[in-house]
Amino acid sequence: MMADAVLFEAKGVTKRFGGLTAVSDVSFALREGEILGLIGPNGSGKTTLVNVLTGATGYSAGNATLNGRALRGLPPHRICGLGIGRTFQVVKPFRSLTVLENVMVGGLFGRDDGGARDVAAARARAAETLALCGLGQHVDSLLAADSLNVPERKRLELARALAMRPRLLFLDEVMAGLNTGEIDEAVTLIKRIRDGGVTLVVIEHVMKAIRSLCDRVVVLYNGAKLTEGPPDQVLHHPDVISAYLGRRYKESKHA
Amino acid sequence: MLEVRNLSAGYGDIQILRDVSLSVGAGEIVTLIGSNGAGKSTLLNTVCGILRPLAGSVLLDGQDIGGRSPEQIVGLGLTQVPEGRRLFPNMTIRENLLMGAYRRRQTAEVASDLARILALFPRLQERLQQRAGTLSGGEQQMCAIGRGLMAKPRLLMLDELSLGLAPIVLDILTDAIREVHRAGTAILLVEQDVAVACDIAQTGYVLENGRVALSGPTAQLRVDPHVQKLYLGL
Amino acid sequence: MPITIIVGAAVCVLLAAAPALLSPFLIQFLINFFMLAVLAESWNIIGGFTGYASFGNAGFFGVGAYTTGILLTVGKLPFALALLAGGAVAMAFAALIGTAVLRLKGQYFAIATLGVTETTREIVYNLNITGGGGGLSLPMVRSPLPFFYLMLAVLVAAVLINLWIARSRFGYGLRAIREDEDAAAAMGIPTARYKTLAFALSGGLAGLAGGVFGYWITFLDPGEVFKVSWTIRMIIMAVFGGAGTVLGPLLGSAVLVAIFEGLSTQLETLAELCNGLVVIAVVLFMPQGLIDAIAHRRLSPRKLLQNLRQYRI
Repeated sequence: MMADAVLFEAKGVTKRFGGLTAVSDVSFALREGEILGLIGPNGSGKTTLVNVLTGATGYSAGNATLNGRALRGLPPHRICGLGIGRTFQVVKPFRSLTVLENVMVGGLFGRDDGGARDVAAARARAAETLALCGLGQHVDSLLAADSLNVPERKRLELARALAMRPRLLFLDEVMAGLNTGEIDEAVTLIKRIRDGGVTLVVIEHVMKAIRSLCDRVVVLYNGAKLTEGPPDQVLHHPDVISAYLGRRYKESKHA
Repeated sequence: MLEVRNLSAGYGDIQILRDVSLSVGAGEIVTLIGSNGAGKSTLLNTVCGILRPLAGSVLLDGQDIGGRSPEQIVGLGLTQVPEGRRLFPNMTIRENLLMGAYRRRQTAEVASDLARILALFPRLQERLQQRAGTLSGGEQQMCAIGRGLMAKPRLLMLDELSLGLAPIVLDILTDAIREVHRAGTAILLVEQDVAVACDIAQTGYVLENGRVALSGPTAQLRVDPHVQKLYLGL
Repeated sequence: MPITIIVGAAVCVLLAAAPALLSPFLIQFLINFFMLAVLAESWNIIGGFTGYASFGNAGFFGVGAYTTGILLTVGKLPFALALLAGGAVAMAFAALIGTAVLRLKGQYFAIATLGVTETTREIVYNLNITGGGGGLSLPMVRSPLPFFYLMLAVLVAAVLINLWIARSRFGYGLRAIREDEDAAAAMGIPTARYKTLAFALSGGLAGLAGGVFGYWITFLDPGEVFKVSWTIRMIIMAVFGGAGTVLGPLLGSAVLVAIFEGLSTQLETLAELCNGLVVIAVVLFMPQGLIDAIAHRRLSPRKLLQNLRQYRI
């Protein structure tokens, strides 16, 4: 499953808001089929970086490429068309649409060569994707999506992004608010997604998930890349411990 | 101080809590653990007066406060720091904190409480004039706790303290909560993260499907096989 | 679904035969109702499906009316052509305004679109070709029947367009934009393009209604045509009936026009009062609109009170 081809590259990505530099010269590369972890304190620029890379906000400097194709300057829907998707830290379901309709939107508008442009095909794909994400029981429900509970909404967010048939998917704090059992289920699901051919960037504060999922981890601090490497190496790095993990983590059995 | 007796509550047609009983004494830190949907937030919302009990009672110092309005309950010394912080995003940190003291009139005391809270959270002092919507998750949590404390509660209820926070921020917050407890405020902490919950609290209740499944000293809960399997993933 | 089509077709056939059976007064009443229903259904495209509450659709109504009127009188074009041109110009005008105004959100969008009607009226006042403040006179047509059928045709078109939107990929995109524009963009929906298209369709239909209206009443006065109360009425009817549904605005117009016009014959002020009371009652007890309450059987007193509490009024 792990090809050696570089699928995606971020080069010197920088984002400034007036006088504040939220992301500073961040570069990393992704091989197809990898799961990359992106960690760092709140306010270190992780979500802003994702916003820049997915076109939600513009670059101040730098660029990114997907299969060699430059992404800077493309509007969000073009970037989706090329096969890049994301979930949101605070989930954004289409609240008055049904669960099925939410996921259909992903299918109808996702990757350009992903198929499912007509409503019937999108409906079929949505049903499949919901089943994959453990929401199969809601396929026929006429209730609006805002009747789901928290872990279900997270899965819905994930299903909707998956229905786009992305090549690269940014997951922004998918584990937040999940208990241990639910985290394990989410990890299993994400691995299954990777096995289905999606490359993933996972932003998390839940180190358990980072350790079980990621092939490599990038650490951001104050908008810049602090270090990069395999999870075990990064999570024992002294700067990472003092800036992000703290003594509780160090003292716990996970250190 | 706070006693919940055989409480049943829910939203509209949907009943969430069934026959729940727990208590928080004057000097205690108590935690309520459970998965999503177990009813933890529902319990806090019922105690605070946002929801009416369907059956059972909520007693504060022996007085039934079920059905009273939230403002009255805050006036009696019970304050909630809600899940997701719910700060006023376009107000500054200072303004958010002062809003916590909305019902209080003794301006000198309010000012000294403000100073005390800023000493507890130096990061807030640095960013006093910054709009709350622009703060990082950890700073928002500090501001939310600070705002709760500004009401001078006898019992502070915290909903999902650790949600979306970096591990190092949790260190700062757990220290702060212990400090608040030492200064005389009782604490009811609702938490997903069992390790954090058992770290901070002395007594715990485990809520499952709207009922209390287990309760006892947290030292015991931490090593209980059921808790270990379901919540600690061991 | 098939039942709805059968019923709809039956209603259309009945309506088509109506002129032979109804009094002249009722025919005029129905033309008025059809027009308001068109306006409500057209507003529904941008306000209901897309969630951008436009307060300027009277402007497109007026542009359609005046374009058709001018082409008819000065341009000496046959009415059919003038009408289509009126709709097309209104549509293009909406698309043009949309590129600027659709970048705004919520209340800013509402105010900007309100400005559109006001500004357009002033421009029309000051042009010679429109007859300026003196108004524009159009040739008289003796029978109301052509207007009956024309307005009915435009209404059928408006409902069919709403129906198409409700089931098409475009419609899913619009609704996603309404629910959460950021998430919609992240899903690959070309939000700017879709919003502009919805606004243009909405304006075009309003323009067609305007074109028929002008010829029907034979006289165009800027103050009467570019009037905010047209906009308010169409919004109330759409929201009352159920914004974002296909038949809601139609139902809303039917009920409100029936109450208002029906009572108008008895007592003018009573009609206004009832109109207002009915709208208030629906907003309080059935915020999703009349059609939602009927379709989901939410008319029991308990459910109505639940709505009241849920929407925290």
